[in-house]
Amino acid sequence: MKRLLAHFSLVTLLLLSACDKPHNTRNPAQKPIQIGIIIPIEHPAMDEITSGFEDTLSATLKQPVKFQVMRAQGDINLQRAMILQLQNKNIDLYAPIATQPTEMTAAMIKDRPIVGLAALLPDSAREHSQLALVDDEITPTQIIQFIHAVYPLKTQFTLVYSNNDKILPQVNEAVAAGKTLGIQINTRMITALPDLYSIAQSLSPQTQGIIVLKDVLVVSGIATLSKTANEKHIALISADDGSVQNGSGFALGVKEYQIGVEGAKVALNILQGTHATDIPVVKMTNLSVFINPEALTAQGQDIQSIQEQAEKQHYAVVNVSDARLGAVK
Amino acid sequence: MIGLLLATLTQSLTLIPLALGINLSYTLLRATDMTIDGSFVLGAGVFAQLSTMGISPFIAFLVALTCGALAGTFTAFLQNGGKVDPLLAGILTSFILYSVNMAIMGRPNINLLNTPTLFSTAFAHSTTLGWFSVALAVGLIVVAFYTLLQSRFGLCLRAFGDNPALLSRQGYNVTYLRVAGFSLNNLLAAASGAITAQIIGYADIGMGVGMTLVGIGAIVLGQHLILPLVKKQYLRAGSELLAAFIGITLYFFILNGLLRLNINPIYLKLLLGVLLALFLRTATQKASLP
Repeated sequence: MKRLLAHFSLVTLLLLSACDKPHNTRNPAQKPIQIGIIIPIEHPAMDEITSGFEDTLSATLKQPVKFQVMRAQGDINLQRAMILQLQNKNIDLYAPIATQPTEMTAAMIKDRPIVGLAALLPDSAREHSQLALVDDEITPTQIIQFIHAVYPLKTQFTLVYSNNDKILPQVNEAVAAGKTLGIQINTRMITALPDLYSIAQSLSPQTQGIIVLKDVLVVSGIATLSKTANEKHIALISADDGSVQNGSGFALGVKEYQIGVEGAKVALNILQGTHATDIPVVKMTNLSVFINPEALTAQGQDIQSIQEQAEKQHYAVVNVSDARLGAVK
Repeated sequence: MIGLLLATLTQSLTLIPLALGINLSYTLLRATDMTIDGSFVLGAGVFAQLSTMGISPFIAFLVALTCGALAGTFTAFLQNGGKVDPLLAGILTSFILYSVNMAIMGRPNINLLNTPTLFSTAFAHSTTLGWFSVALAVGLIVVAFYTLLQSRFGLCLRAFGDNPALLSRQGYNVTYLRVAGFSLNNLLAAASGAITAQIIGYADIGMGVGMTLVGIGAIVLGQHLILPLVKKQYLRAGSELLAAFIGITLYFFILNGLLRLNINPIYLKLLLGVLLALFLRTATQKASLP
């Protein structure tokens, strides 16, 4: 019993020693603004958004700012504990990334502003909370229209998606958009990453290209689809820069870094006194076409037509081979 | 310090029914029921879907519990009629529940941020009142469960876990006991899921992943710490409940404490595992002493 108590006391003391550490209180006038960033899973896109948010806010805020970055590693219990910990630290503003962490933060934090980055929630969810949103989604119709402009003769595509709340309506919209343009889009859903290999191996021989939306689960296994696209010499088209860096041929999307920049502008507005719910949901309008020349060559695709269409539609063209050494800013 | 304790208590509170359910299957029925991962989501999903349809939160909660119990019934029938091993039956049901949950929810995530729930009025009034109402609801579940365990039915469930063959020879209907046990265990998991969804503001198709393992870990930890200290047989049921509570609280106490040490989350579960193992080792040594 003594040993049990000794171990318990040791661990308790160790844990408590970490608690209630005074924050930077050397000079109350210089007390930094505390921002809590909640990252649900490890993903390069999340880091890009975080960098854009931190860089912009540090550069524009006149007061010192301290960022508390919490990485939940895909664990819902851990994420909840992290939000509670931030709450105890008297965080001035919360910046959860993605829809699910934004929902959880909004449910748990009522007395502080929240800027949901890359989050999509109904307007009703913003009532009774101090929630502002940066919606990173571009419409699937835009993606399908761009694909049609690049490949006017191709009519058979396969859209691979995961069981994600944000993705399901987009899949339906993409299929409908394809129909109006005479494109048949077959859909294949995965519930876990290992499903991707089976789906890649069982693609219809008529498929002329694979489409992936901004879908974290599918994008994390993009190499599997890239391998299939290379073998079959068909196009692999996605909707974010990270997937293009990892093997997709090209993508029409937004720069992740820019989502953080837009979020920082919203945060700045709030810190200057605007109520979060008075700020309209920010939509990302500056679209870019990300291209991976090596992947396009391996997939037997013509880079010229993509660049021409991007210029025609006034989209910035980003060659990920050039940007690979640094963040795409 | 108060912050750490409050964070620990509020996190543990919503998972206490889950811990009781796992305690029932793991300790009394002597089976590792993996259905819980699915029935936790089922409870959350059914509650969220019905609430967003405008149905009374109380009715939605009761329907969620019933659905959880049905999932447990299915697992029990798989074991009984299908002659499937309890572990495999749980895994199979959990597998099936993924599709069932998706069909019920209609989408992977249902937002409850602006939907009336069992606790929304209380939380709108004050956070303290909100948590008090959650504690009251969980308390009612605990009392009902304890009363059931202390009854003749509870004794039969315990006997079923200890020696079903003997119970059968004495004329008891073991099929009924199996169904009742697994239904009750999954009803509690569904209750936990429905309460959690109301607190975190959404029901998500992936929210149950790993819940069984966390629960079993916490139960084993609590039992190793508490049960060796209790010698009287008539205190067994109460001490098991206390062990479930202590286990889940200790788990979140260490988790929150480690977070406050600013440990890289990559190593968090490693350290959590090591600390829990340290507790278990100490408790085991204590128990093995003459």
